[in-house]
Amino acid sequence: MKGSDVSAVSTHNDEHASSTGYSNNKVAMWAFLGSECLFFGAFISSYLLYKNRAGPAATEPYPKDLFDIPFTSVTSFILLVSSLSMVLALSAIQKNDPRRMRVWLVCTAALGMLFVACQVFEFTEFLREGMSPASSVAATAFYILTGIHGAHVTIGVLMLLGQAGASLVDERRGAPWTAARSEGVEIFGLYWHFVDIVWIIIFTVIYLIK
Amino acid sequence: MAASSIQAPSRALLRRPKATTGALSWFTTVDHKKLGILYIVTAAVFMGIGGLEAILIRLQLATPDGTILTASQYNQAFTMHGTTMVFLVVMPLAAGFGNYLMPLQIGARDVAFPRINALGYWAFLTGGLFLYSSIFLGGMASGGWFGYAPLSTGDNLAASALAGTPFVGSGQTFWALGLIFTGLGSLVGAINFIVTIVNMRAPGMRLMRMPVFTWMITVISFLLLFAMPVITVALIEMFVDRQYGTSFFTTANGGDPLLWQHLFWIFGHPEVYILILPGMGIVSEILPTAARKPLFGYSFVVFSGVAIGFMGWGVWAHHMFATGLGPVAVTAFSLSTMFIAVPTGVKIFNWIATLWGGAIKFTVPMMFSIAFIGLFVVGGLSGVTHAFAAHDRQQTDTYYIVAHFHYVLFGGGMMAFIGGAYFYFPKMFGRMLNERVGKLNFWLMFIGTNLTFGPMHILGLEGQPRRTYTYPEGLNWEHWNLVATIGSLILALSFVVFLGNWIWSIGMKKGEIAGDDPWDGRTLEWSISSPPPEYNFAVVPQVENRDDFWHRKYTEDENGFLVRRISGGADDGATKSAPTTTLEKRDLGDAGDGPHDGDDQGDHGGHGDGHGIHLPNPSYHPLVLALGLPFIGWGLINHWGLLIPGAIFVFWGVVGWMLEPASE
Amino acid sequence: MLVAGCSSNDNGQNALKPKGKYAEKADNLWEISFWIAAAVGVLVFLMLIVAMIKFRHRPGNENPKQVHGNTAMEIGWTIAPAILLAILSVPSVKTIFELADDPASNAVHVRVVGHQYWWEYQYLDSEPTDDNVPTVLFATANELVIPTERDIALYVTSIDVIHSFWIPSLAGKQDAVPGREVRMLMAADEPGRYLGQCGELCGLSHANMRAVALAYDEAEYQAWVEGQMAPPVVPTGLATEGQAVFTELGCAGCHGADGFDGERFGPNLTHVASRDLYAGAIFDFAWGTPEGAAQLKAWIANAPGEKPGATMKEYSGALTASQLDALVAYLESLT
Ligand code: HEA
Ligand code: HEA
Ligand code: HEC
Ligand code: CUA
Ligand SMILES: [Cu+2]
Repeated sequence: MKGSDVSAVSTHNDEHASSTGYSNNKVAMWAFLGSECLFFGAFISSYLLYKNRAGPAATEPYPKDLFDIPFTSVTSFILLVSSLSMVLALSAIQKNDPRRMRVWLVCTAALGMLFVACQVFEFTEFLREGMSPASSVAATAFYILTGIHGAHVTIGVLMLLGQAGASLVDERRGAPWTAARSEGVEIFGLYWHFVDIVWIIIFTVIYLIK
Repeated sequence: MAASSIQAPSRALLRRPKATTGALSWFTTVDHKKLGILYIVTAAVFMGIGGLEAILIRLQLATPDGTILTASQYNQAFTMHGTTMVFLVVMPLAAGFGNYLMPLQIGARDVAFPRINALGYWAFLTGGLFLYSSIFLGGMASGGWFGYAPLSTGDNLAASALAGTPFVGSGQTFWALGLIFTGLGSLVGAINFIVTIVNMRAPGMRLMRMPVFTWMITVISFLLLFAMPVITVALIEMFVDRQYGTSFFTTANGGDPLLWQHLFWIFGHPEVYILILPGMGIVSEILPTAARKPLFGYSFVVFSGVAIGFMGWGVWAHHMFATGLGPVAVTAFSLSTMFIAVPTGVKIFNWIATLWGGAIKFTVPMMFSIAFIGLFVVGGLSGVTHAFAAHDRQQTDTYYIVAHFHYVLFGGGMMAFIGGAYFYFPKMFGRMLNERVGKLNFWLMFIGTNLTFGPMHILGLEGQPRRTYTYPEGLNWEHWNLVATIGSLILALSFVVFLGNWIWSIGMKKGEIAGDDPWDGRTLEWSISSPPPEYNFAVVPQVENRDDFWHRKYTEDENGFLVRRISGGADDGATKSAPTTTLEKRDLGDAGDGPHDGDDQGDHGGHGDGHGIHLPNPSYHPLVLALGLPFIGWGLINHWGLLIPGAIFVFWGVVGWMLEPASE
Repeated sequence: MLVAGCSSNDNGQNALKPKGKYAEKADNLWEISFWIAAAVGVLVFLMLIVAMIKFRHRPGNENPKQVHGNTAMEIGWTIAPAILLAILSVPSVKTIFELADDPASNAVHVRVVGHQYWWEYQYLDSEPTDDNVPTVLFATANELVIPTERDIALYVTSIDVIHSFWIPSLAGKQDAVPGREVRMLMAADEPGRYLGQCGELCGLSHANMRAVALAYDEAEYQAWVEGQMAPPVVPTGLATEGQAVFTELGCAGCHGADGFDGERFGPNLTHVASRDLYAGAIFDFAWGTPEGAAQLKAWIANAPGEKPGATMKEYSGALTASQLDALVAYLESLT
């Protein structure tokens, strides 16, 4: 009865014993994203329940009457492309090239910011057209769902910039990042791709399906 | 998850706290054992508060037309009683015992994320204090512990001279935000537990060798992981409804009050299993120890726990049988609810089979455990009678339901935790609790429970609705209500005895010195000293068996009878007694030189005496971050200006955290 | 512990004492579930107690046989409860559908509207369906009057928060959810007075939101309906003054007193003197008695003072004693 299924495996970038071979940080991120699925799931369900509802008092338009599909398709595309540049950032650091990594990280963050800016623009358009967050429950559900998603993108942008900055500072101090540091980038990448996928779901379920 | 590794301590925002002992160390500790004790002690204080509210409720109801509380005070009392007991007592007790024991049971030196672990505790504490700050700021929530909308989204404060003054009428908003904050703590705590269990088991500690308590902690961590976001969404929607006049849960603008109920109970039913499974885990540790027999059907006990965890997601609408879901939906939820009795029954039968043929020592923890089985079965069976949906429409919102859930929560959950407290007290503090006083405590509590909650079955079926601050004479409810009130006073007395026992043992230092293994225990936590050293295991154990420590002490003869190994002994610390051949010294001494990748582990190798074991250092930042939460709450409710200190604390906490290496 | 089997408490609000066929259906289910649960409970306790006595620690048995499990037994105690529950689910599901059946064609249709903190009953001329908006014949409050031996179809809804309509001896609860109208059925075998109470926390006076169902035999019921359909009595004497005060003070803004003219904030008072209980059935009008008049005056002057959180306007100072006398006389005339 020698214990064998678990051993002190050490992966290349993990100094600690880990029963699964995946680092703690990565497992934690996966767990967190699992939790996030239900978080967004509950908001999406609220929206689906309410998308055609307004009270007797509400005269303002429904979100679905205002959607500008071509515009939102472009912003969705922007977010998709940012996932690609995130992949490139990871592959750069895996090839021991922290400079290229920083370029791609900043690029990813910029695309993310562009997406958020487009969302802000979309919101102001909707407000101008008379759909305030409290005008109907459909509008509230729409704003809170897309707004919370936008907040996730914003946090992601901050984390990406923080990572690029940290890498720069370390380099100045004479300790440039190597492939050994790639796991951190990979983990933030997981988050970024997740937020991206959630948007694809939101876009399909909310904008495309009538 | 910190962004990056930084070796240079000069960048830290707060001086690295050094002390690991003394009063201050409790504020900065990242040691899972200290955090466990903090959780338990804090929960005990909240238990006192929630219990006081319960006593007020009972005194009010002792006679018809009671005048001790006003309607408004009564509604606040039961709302905060339920909320406190569920979110600030039993959940933290689970986190506390989990924190203390789980790493010891899997042979780990620490948890995966010590600072996140600390954040979990501080978010619970500041969230709880924020919730209770409403008592000074215009009144507490009064919409019941499940806060049904639209009562909870409206301003349910009677027209009051104070209307318009800051905070008045915001009790329910405090409730929504406070639960978001404590929920945040539970979520990060759950992630930490999951990663620890997944990744940091000692060599040889396969999943199917893990102690049942650790297994149940695993299950509840996953339940928390998936249930907390749902309640968070519901609470956010409630908050915007209340604060910004939206209408998620009111019909004014097209919302539906039942959405709140669905969201709450999708969380709420898994939640009740979150409350009971740790207790079941504790009992599964105590029974085999006191019966000197291995747990009968270990894998069935484990898998039925997992099955309960899964099935718990498919029954939520049994709280909504009277809302008019339609017969098809009611049938579906009625059936799923009934069948959840099957995995629960498997546990009960396995526990009884564990006792069967054993050599049962009626120690105090064992008495609580056996009472747990009996009382939980009563509560579980009344739960099954609720599942008969057509009759549940008679039972729902009566004292029959109150009886059900106090039997499972108090007779079940609390009894297990009190038993667990007697069982693990010597491990935590090095001294025994007094057995005779413990027996007195047990009998008071057992009798008190049945006197308090037993009559509620009858009252409920005889038509007494819950959440009523008064009832008229002439409905013949007064006798049983009086009995229940007397019972609750006996319960209060039992808690005083319990507290007295603590004081006697460690406050007055009268408790007998426990030694490492006072109960002839089975699992790894008994193999180390009491209280355990900071690093837990001087040598990371190599696990060979389920109940590994037991197998180092005992073996079986050819007929399956227990035989004591010559070298092992109940009184020896494992570091001395464990046969060295089964131990493998892991030398990870040079691991610490590699680059850190952000977060913290204490699992560095060491040498026999614990010297040189690298543990994560204490940190102020979890506390600083959590301190921001109440300010954000007050700011959101009343004044944007208060958001500034909130933001400063959070920013300070986050940045300081990222700049500070987990360990130096 | 679980000794709730039979109850001798005939307090009029006892779910264990069904007085109509729908409550009886639920009660039959209860009988089954209770006795099965009791049997399972006794079985478990017996096993537990036997184990505790038989396998106590005694000198000499410190080292018992180490049994790790037994798959056959595991399968047994998984399957046995499952089969038992499968059998039990048959009557359970049957009852769920029976209670959701359509009512008999001679059913009485009443819309039950929950208010903080009282029940409004709108008697309808027909069944509300997707394409039939029924007419409200008349509206009353607090006391639900029903004929015996007929199906009563109640359409339960609410104008503010969630309440739950419940007359235990006639039927189980139906939540009154704003924005929804859900049908529930009840029936009474015998004429009588059946007590009930709001079943969902609805605010400060949830405890004071009681209800009464009065079951009359058919003839008596028809006479009552006629009385309710009649136009309001034309007041005379002091009551005429009272009627003037009633309009002057704005009572009529919340209370209909001239038949049903749309849902109002307060109870319809057209025939209030035909009722015994008011304010969520916690006070007795006791018409014609000095105590009754004193209580009613106290209520009109300061309703929230008499019943916590009551939403009726507080008049206190604005009312003189003579105005109150006149109001009471007016209300008393509304038979
Ligand atoms: C620790 C918490 C806990 C636990 C474990 C349970 C366990 C169960 N609960 Fe309970 N429940 C609550 C806490 C809990 N509950 C709370 C807090 C509420 C009220 C919320 C509120 O309204 O405020 C509630 C309310 C509640 C309701 C809603 C009632 C209503 O409001 O109308 C229902 C309905 O079905 C229900 C059912 C069950 C069932 C079937 C189980 C089952 O899991 C029980 C299974 C156990 C057994 C059955 C005993 C052992 C089994 C055997 C010995 C096998 C053989 C048995 C048979 C063949 C029957 N519970
Ligand atoms: C785990 C959960 C839990 C626990 C342990 C309890 C414990 C108790 N509960 Fe409660 N209860 C709930 C969960 C719980 N309850 C919930 C969820 C509700 C529903 C709320 C709602 O409707 O919204 C409820 C509702 C509820 C009601 C119904 C109110 C109503 O509907 O109107 C009543 C009435 O009797 C009651 C009574 C009691 C009593 C007498 C105890 C006793 O067991 C308490 C005994 C304890 C003490 C007396 C404490 C004494 C402690 C000390 C002396 C130690 C002090 C220590 C320090 C300071 C360190 N509870
Ligand atoms: C703001 C609206 C409002 C006004 C104005 C008002 N009432 Fe009321 N009244 C109510 C409500 C609401 C109730 C039910 C309260 C409860 O039972 O909780 C009620 C109940 C009553 C009842 C008991 C009826 C029953 O069957 O329960 C009487 C009688 C009554 N009012 C008389 C009056 C008189 C007389 C006046 C004027 C002097 C008046 N009301 C003004 C709202 C109003
Ligand atoms: Cu209406 Cu409670
Ligand atoms: Cu449940």
